[in-house]
Amino acid sequence: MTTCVGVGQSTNPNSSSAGRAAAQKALESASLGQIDLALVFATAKHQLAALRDGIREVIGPDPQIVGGNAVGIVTRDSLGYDGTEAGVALFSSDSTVFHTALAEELAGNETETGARLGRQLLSNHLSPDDGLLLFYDTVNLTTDQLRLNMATPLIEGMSQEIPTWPNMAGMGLLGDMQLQPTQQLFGDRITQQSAMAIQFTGDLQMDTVIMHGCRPAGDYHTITKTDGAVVLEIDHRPALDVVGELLGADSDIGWDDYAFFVTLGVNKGDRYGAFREDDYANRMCIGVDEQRRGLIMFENDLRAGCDVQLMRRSLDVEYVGQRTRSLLAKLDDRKPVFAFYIDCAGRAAAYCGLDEEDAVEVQKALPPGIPLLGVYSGVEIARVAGDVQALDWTGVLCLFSEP
Amino acid sequence: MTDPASPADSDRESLEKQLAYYRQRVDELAGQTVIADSNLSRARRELKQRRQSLAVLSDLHRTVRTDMSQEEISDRTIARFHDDLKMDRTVLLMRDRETFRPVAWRGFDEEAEHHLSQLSLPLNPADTCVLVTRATPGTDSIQQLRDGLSIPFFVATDVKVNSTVAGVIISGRMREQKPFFPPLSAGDAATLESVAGFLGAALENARLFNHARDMALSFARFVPREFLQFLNRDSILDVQLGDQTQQEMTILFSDIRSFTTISERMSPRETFDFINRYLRYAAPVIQQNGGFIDKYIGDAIMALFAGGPDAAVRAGMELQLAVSRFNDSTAVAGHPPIAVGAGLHTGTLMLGTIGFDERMESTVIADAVNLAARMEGLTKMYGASVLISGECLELLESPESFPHRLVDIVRVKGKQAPVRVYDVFAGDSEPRRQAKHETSTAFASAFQAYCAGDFRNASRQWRDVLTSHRDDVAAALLLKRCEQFLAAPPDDDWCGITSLDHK
Repeated sequence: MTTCVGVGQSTNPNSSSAGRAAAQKALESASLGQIDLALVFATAKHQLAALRDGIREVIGPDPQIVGGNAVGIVTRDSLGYDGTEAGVALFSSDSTVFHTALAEELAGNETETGARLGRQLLSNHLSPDDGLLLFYDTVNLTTDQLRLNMATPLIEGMSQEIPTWPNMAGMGLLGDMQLQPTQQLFGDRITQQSAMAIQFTGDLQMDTVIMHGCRPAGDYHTITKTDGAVVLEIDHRPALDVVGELLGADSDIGWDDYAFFVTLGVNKGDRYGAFREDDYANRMCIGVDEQRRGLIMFENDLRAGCDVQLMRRSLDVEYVGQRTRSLLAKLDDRKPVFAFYIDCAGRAAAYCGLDEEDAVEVQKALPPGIPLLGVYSGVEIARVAGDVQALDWTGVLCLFSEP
Repeated sequence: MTDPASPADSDRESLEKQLAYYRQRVDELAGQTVIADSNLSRARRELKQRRQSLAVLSDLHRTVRTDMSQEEISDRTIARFHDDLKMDRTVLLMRDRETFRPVAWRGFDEEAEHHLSQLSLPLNPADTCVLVTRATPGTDSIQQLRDGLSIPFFVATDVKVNSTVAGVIISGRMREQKPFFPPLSAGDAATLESVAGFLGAALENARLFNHARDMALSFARFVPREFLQFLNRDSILDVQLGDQTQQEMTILFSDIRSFTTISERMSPRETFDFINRYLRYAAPVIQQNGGFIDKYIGDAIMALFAGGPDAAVRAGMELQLAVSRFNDSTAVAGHPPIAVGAGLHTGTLMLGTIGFDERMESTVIADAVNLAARMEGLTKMYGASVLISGECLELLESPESFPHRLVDIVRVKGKQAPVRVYDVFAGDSEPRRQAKHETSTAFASAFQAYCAGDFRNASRQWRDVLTSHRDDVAAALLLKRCEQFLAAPPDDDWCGITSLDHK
């Protein structure tokens, strides 16, 4: 036998019923043997404990469960967000072992938590040939002020322990666009402020492609001063002034409009080579620091010395289908068994003002017979030109295959 | 002394200048491209809003009907706007004297609904067309709306009916946070204005429709709907002077016997009330049997029945039961019972309108009408409650359902052709019906002898009838006639026909 994956979803507002229904559909969708792993996601409208209990009624007490909140769920024939969506992927394999790891106390402690998680993975003999999925709690409501847990220090902490990363993808878990407290599922535990990982060891191979639809629009400029996630100076000049000049003095775009509009891209590939979407890590501006004339970015990984370009975003979603097909082409003779799509929640049509859902392009491009589970996330993580990178406004498609 | 620049330096300098030039152009182009993308994105959003607005209006036009109640129209309209534009709360307030009260709403929880149902806002219509976002400076009126309705970000517009502000629609969201909860826009306000315009027109149309329907119902109380149908008119508005149609119908006349004597004891108001009380019992019998009342003439009813006369005759019989129930109801107050006679005849009528343009009336013109009235007039003379003509009897589909007897052959004043007069006694009181039934054979035999001129034989047989049924008025009348003919025989050509010289 090989690896078999079944996927099911439910929008039942009763969490227990939703879990039961989604798990049952997943079970019925494929010829699964003994279930090794359940990947579970649900919006913040669900009670994860009840959801878990409903799933356990179907799969029994033994299989590992990993997952948590997501803004929405995508499968081969469904797509929904901001409602009562719940999705389950059940894995059954006699050629791959699934190890799971959990590190808690993430809030304000991303680096150290990442290091602990990395050590756990190494204790499971993590190798560069493995596949790795990483999930962490995006929303930090442990203080009076809403903060977001950063992926960059989490990755840095893991990098301290992991000498060579395997192919990996990950996401910051987010349950809704109201930034409600987010929960994680690990086994039968419900946790918060946690980072979790699933390590695939065996024949199952994970290939990824990142899709952001952004292209560089202008010349390279150098970041010369930062303060955490705030880019203060570009080319030794106030960042807001530089961006203002780039956009044109007579444009009707003011500082108030920069948030979620201005995107800076870092080319990790050939500086002057042909454009490759895979080489670009995009960082979105989420606000302005008017006093210091700086740009507040989603993550704090843009440092002094970093060259960036102003990026333009595609207004169409056709590139998603093209990128999906290009990933499929890379498999050669390998047999795809499962597709996992991590999609930035901001790319959902209702939130970005586009007419189409980008996830529909993934649904259409995947050939029949490949089960799909997609989740809407707060942050996406993937390898960009070899480096593990937090990404904004990106879809990360993970294709699992085996010989 | 400084060495002059070498050609290589000069080239490098030139290249660097070129590079700087192109880098600057690229950056300019970059900014323009990004701005163009932003403008395109904004244009697409606006286009999407316009399309959505049209879709909302199109759907409302398709689904909201004029015959719906105002409540249903209001509810459907705001529900459509609320759902399609994914608002969090929407409320329609309608003017109630000097304030506006919520009449329909969406998106409020139970507690908020309770608060809403008690709300009354003294709004100034001048302040009711607004778009309120986080950036909007707060005014007193805006704060009043925010506090009263608990909607922090909203669009509001008035609903005009007949150019007058009749209401306000307010719809909005609880959050505003770019980019995921974008502020409400002028496009949203424009959509709401369109919807409010539709709502105003729909409410006015519904009011006019209801008014027209009420008018039609009112007219129908004076001009029967059936009359319009016979004239092939959909509405009284379509009726023209001179419209007419020829129909074969059965006419039923009914009248309260000795009503003049009864009414002499009452005041005009009491008489009015008495007639209306009686008609509440009597008139529905006509409709229940498929007829319609052409006119009331004091205490008399003239009713018309299309199709065969069976329903009309049945109505005549059931009228007696209705009179009986009426008598029971008035006996409690000590009123004496009344008796009602009904006369029926079937013939060809002309229905139409007469008068002049500014004063018309529906009417029925036919000899048959007079004959039916004469039938009714004869009921007392023959002691019958229901008399029908021979023409009427011949057209009955089920004559056996209506026990009857021939009581006379008459030639009424102004008519040459004799008319057979039948007493349909199935509607009589039980004792009388039973008696007439038991003596029907003897009565018929006596009448046959009478028509043959064998007055002695006829007299003997009617005496026998009267022995069994002392109160048989027709038998007594015909016996007396026989005795008169025995004393003074009729002409040789006499064949049983009696001329009635009175009307």
